[in-house]
Amino acid sequence: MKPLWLSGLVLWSPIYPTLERFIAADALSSPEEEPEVSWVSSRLLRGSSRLTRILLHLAGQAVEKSGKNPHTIATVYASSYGEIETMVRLLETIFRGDGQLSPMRFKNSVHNAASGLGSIGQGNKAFSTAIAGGLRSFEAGMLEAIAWAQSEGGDVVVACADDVVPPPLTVPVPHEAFGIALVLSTERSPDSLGCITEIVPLSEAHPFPSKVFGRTLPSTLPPNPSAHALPLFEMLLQQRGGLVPLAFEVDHPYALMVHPCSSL
Amino acid sequence: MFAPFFNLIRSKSKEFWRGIREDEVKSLVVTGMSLVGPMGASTDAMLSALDEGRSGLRPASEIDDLHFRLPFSTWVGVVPGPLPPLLPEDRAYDTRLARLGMLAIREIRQAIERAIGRWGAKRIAILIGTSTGGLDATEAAYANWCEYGFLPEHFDLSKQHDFNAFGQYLRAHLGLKGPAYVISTACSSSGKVHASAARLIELGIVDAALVGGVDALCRMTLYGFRSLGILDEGRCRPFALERSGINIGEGAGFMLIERECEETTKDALGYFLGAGESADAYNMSSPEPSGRGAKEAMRRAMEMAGIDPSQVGLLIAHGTATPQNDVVEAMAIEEVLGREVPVISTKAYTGHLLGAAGIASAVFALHLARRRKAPPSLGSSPIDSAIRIRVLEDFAHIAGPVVLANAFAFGGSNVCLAFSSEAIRPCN
Repeated sequence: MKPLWLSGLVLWSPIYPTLERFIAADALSSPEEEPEVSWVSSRLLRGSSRLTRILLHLAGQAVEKSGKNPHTIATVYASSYGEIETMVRLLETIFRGDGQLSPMRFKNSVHNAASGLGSIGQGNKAFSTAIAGGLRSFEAGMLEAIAWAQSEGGDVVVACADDVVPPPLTVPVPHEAFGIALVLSTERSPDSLGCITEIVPLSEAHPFPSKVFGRTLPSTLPPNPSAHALPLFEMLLQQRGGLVPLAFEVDHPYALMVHPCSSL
Repeated sequence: MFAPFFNLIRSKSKEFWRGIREDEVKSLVVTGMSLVGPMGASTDAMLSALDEGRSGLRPASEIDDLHFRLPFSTWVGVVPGPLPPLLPEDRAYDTRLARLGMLAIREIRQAIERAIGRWGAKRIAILIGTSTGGLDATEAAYANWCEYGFLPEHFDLSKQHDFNAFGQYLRAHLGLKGPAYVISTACSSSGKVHASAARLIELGIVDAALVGGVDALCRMTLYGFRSLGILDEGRCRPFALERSGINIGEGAGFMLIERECEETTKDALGYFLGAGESADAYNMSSPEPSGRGAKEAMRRAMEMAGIDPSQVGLLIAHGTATPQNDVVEAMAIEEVLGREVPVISTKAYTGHLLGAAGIASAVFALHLARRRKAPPSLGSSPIDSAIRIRVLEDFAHIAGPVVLANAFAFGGSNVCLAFSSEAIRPCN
C-alpha cells in the first residue's frame, strides 16, 4: 500500500480535555461537562447529544492541529453505542411522555449525526461516513479511512468516541466517556508524526497494554473502543516504529506497521 | 475492456492475488444475494411479488404480526409470519433484527461456504448497514423497565442493541475472520456498504465481502417520521401528484461480492460495477434543493462503472414519496440521465426499509438487470407534472444492460450503485 502519514492526534475525556493533559496525568479538578465545538454553530447543534459534540470537537481539533483544510477533508466517525443518549430521551417520550417526539432530536438520533452536522457546519462536501464496530470501532474506522485514502487519495480525519451508557440502560462492562481523533494523509507534511505502510492481520488476540504513556489506565477506559488508539498514539508521539494492533481483547485483530518520521 | 474503477484492483501488488493470474482479475462479481421483506420471508417471494407488481404494505392496524400497536394510522411493511428464533445457545443475541438477518442469511449460506473455500475465512469481510441496530429489543426492555422498574434479565445491550452486535454474531456463526463492521448513515447505510467493500478488496486485505442491510420495524422510527410530518396515513405513492409521505417497512438482505476469477465467474449472478457517494452538506433531513448531492452520486457511480447514460436500462430511485424528496431526486435524474431512462421506486412495494433500503434496491437492481423486465412504480399514477422523468406506470422491457440504484439519507448522505448481469465494456 501507499504510505499514509499520520498527524493531528487529539483526545478528549471529561477529566482530560486534551492529549497533553492525559499524557501528563493532569486531571481537571472538576470534570468538563462537554467540549466546545468550533466546527458547527450552536444553532445547528440544538438537539444534539454530548457524543455528537465530542466527535465534532475532536474532528475539528485534529484537523486544526494537522493544518488540513476543514472544508475539503474526508471524515470518518466511529462509535460503538452511538447516539444512545438521544435514543433514551426519545424512548422516554414514547413510553413515559406524550409520544410527540422532538423532530430536531429525532433527526439527530441517527448514528451519522456528527457526520451530517460536521459536513453542514463546514460546507464540506467530501466523503463522510459513520461506523460502528463494537469494541473494534477504532479498528473499523481506521480500516474504512485507510481504504478510502488508498483509493481516493488526500486527507481523512478519523474521530472515534463513546459516551457513557445512560440509565436505565446498563452494559456488562461499563466504560467512561472518551474519544480520540487523528488525520491520515497521502502526502507528508511538517506536522506528520509518522507513516503506516502495511496492514497486518494478526492471528491471536492481544491484551490491552498494562501501561500506556507510562501509567496504568483505569479499568473503565479499555472497554471504550476509542481507547484502543492509545498504543498507536504512544508509538507515534514517542517516535517508535513497529507493529501496533488497532483493537485489543478481540480475535484476529488488524495491526499497522508504523514508521516514525524521525527514522525517515 | 472492463470498468476503470476496477483497473485499480488490477494494478495492486501481486502478493494479494493468492495465485490468481493478474489478467484473470477483472471486476467484482456478485455470487450470491438474498432478501426478505414485507412481500415475503424468502428471496423468491420478494422477487416474485416485485415481478408481478404486488405490494407488501398493509394498514398497521390490520397486521397481526406487528409486535406493538400504534396510536396513529399508517401503512407498514412487516415480514410475514413468525420469525425463527436464534439457536438456544445464541439467545443473548436474539432480537427481531437478528432473526430477520438470519432468515436472509439462510439463503446465501452456500455461496458463503464456496467463498470460504476459495479465499479462506480471513479474507472475507462482513459489512452491514443498519439505522436502528437492535432497537426493537431495547424498546421492549425499556417498556419492561417502565412497567416493572427493571430491565429484563435476558436483555444485554452489548449483544442486542449495539449496532454491530448482529455483525459480530454473524461473523462467529459463519466462521469468518475478516473485518466485520457496520456502516450506519441512516437510509444510505446498506448502499454505502458496497462502496466500502469495493475499497477493502481494492486495498487488498480481503478478496470477498458479504454486504447487507437489516432493520426491524420499531416504534421510534414510526413516531419519529410522524413527528416530521412525513408519514403517510395510507399507502405511499412515490412520484404521484397526490403523494403525501412515506411508509416504513422492515427487511434484511445480503450480497456476496468477490473478485472476478474463473471460479467466481462460474458462480456469477451479475456484476457490481461501481458506486458513487456524496454529501449534501446542506440540511440534516432535507435534500439540497438543486439535487447536487444526488447528481454527484449518480455521476460518480457511472464514472466508476465506466458507463454513460445510454447504457442505463433502469434506475431504481430512492423515491420515498415525500413531496420534496421526490421532486428533487427527479430533477437530479433528469439532469444526469435525461428524460427517457425508465425509473421506478420500490417504496410502495416494501415501504422505506431505512437501513436496509440500499440492499433491497441493490438486490432488486441486479434481479431486474438479469430479467430485463421492470415492474411498474406502484402508486405513482397520476404522476406529478413537476416530475418530468419516465416513471414507469406499467411493466416495461429494460433496454440497457445497467441498472442503477439510489439511496439517500439524513445528514445528506447519498449513494448510487451500478449493477449489470454481464461484464460491461466501458464507454470512452
